Amino acid sequence: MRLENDYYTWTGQEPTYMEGVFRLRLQKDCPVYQGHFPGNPVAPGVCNMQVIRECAEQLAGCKLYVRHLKKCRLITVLKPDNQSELTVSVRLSPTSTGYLCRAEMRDSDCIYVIYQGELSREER
Amino acid sequence: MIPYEIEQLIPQRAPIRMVDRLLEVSEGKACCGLLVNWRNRFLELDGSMSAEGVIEHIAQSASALFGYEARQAGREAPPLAYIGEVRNFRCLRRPHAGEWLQTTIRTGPTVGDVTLLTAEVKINDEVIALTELKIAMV
Repeated sequence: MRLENDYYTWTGQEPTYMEGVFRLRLQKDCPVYQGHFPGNPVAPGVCNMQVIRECAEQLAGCKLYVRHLKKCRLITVLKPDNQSELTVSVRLSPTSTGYLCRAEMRDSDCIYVIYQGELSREER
Repeated sequence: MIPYEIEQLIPQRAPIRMVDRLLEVSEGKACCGLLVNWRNRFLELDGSMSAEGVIEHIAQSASALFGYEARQAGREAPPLAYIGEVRNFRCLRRPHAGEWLQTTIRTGPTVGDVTLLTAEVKINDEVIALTELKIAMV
């Protein structure tokens, strides 16, 4: 399922051709925190990876699938009660099947995710 | 036979529990299973599971191994383990609802609180995903 309006809400988007800066806030009451972890809500790293993919989809204008992650570093634990605005910077470069994607998720204090992967337009 | 229920081994719960069973453990190696349920949160509109869901399943499989080792050492509470890094992840195809994932974890060196591991996800005999992970234990 898409995480837009469930795990996060947009606070702003500045897309240009093949790159953009996206601003969002985590939704504290997202059901994912019932299980991750009970009584100790922590933003799942894979959800932050999916947020990056959904930002890339905004730029590409189509659905994208993760084909290859060269390296994705989840640097700092992110908690949903951190209500500061998160910034996701994304840069795409075209390949024969989709895009190479470099991205970073951060707020004013910390870097949370550094992402380098290959997103495909093709379902498989 | 593993004498523990999965929820005795990992701290994750619905709606984001992504392992059903720890099937087998040997020195530095574990095998876990997940039946992809149609209510799985990582399912896309076309009924396939996202690659992010596959990565979460792999990470929770590692967590099940650490939880088993903790139980064997006499500790009741499963340890909290976080993904520190995903490296060289390849998704060869995405699983669909109704398919049974069987994932083998092989642990490598541990440096401080961080364990390196490799993982291979299969459906029947078909490898559908491969990765290296760094898992940080808290």
